[in-house]
Amino acid sequence: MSITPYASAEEDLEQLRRGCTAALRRIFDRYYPELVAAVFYYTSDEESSKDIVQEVFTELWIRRQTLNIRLSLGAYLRRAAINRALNYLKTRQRYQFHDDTTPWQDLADLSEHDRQWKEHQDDLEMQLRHAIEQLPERCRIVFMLSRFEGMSHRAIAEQLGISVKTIENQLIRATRLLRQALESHRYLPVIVLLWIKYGLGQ
Amino acid sequence: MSHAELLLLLHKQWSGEITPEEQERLEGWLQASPEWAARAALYRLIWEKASPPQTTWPEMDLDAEFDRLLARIEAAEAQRQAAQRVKRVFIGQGWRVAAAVLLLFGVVWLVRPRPTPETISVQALPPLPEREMRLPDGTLVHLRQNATLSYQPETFARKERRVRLQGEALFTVRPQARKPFIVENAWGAEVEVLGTQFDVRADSDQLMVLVCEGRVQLWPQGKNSGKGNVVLQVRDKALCKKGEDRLQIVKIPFHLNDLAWRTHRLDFRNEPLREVIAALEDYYKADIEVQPPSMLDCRYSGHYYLDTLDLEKMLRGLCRIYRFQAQKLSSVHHRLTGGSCPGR
Repeated sequence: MSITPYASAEEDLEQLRRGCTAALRRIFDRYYPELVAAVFYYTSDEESSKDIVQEVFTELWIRRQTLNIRLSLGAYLRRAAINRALNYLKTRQRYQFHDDTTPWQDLADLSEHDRQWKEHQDDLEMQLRHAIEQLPERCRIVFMLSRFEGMSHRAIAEQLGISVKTIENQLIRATRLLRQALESHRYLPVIVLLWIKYGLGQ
Repeated sequence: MSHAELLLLLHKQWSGEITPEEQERLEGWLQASPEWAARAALYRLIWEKASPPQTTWPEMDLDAEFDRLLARIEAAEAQRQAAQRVKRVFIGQGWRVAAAVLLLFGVVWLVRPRPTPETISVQALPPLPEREMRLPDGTLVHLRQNATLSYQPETFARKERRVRLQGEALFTVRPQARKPFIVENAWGAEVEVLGTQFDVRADSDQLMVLVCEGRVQLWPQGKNSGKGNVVLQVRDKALCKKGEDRLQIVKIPFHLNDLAWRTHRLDFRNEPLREVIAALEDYYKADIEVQPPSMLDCRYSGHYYLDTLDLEKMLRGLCRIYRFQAQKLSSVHHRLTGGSCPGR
């Protein structure tokens, strides 16, 4: 059996099932950095992010023969990594996740950050990305799960072990905070107008 | 409609969880009021334009990371095989097979040389801070991160309950008359109890035993060494070094700061700052430098619930009290400089 360095994800997976560590290495090289980055945005801790993704790959190897991957390999690994990250958050932050009294002070730094940042870049998406990073931690995690991981409110609630009501409150709060953060944007009214006029139908 | 209600319905719509009635209600509202429609449009813009944070990691040594993965896989596979071997014995396919296997085992048992006993090892791997497990006798063990506990399932609880520990663990031993529970470390020191709660930290060259409840016997060189043992009472903390007969035993004060890894709580009553720094270093596995060192004699009172605080928040608190300048040298290395004791 020849092993080309450019095997496709399916070929790699097939070779992985047969116990080929070179295939594991290729899958690792392809996905590890982006998975660590994705997990980092939930855990905010570099070392645990690496450990979490390492565990995902360990599981991938150990269960290689019984794996039932319905999504693509990349999507499967991402979902596994995010789930693990959430379990980790659940054990690490039981208490933080339950109390709902986090002050909104995290937003205080935003305007100054904003001004600096706007000197370099005045682009809605960038500003939005920045605003998301500045959201209070729980708020940000719930928003990202809903927006970027495509999880339903119920699924998020189950994963984090909190009520659907709390999830919805966090989402409402997140969008409000994002709107507030964007209000300093010079062209926002224009963008909204144009977007309503031309963008909605797409 | 309230603002919150609008946002709730929008979010339900975006996640596909909106009911037909809610959908109808939302659309009715938006059509009736251009103001609400404009607000909804703004929120929809925010939702659609939100893009995930950057997904590349600046610098990573993939070779080193992959080596780490291989080591982890090796450990996981060894642990799994040990667990499977036990399972295979018990999960037969019906009585006939079981009986045949049993007979075969019996015969093999008689003729073959004594096999090396099988060992089960349980490890508390990062990123979880600790791991809880129950031994076959019902004893509860909390393993601290990176600790390894091993025992031989075949002989465990035959005459005595014996486990080997590397790292730190808190044992809550289920009492069993005439079956002592024994923890040994790498160099053969043994800690024996009947039913109690105690913490053991077995580092490569030092052993620490702390008794929370009941009594514990400690043989610094092992039971069979012919050297003596010590009996430890509640709130005794014993330290012994490899190759030394002498023990250091102290009564621990009112608090259980030594068990912060388990209780996530630290208490100080007018104690020198040096104690606070040492406890934080141990809990967070970090290095905290204080300059000038004379500041370590300042007194401190207070308590912390650590599971809701990270190290940086803790240090910011200390900075406020003692007017330190904090400097983060790496994620696990901090330096506090300057400062003065309050009230001096």
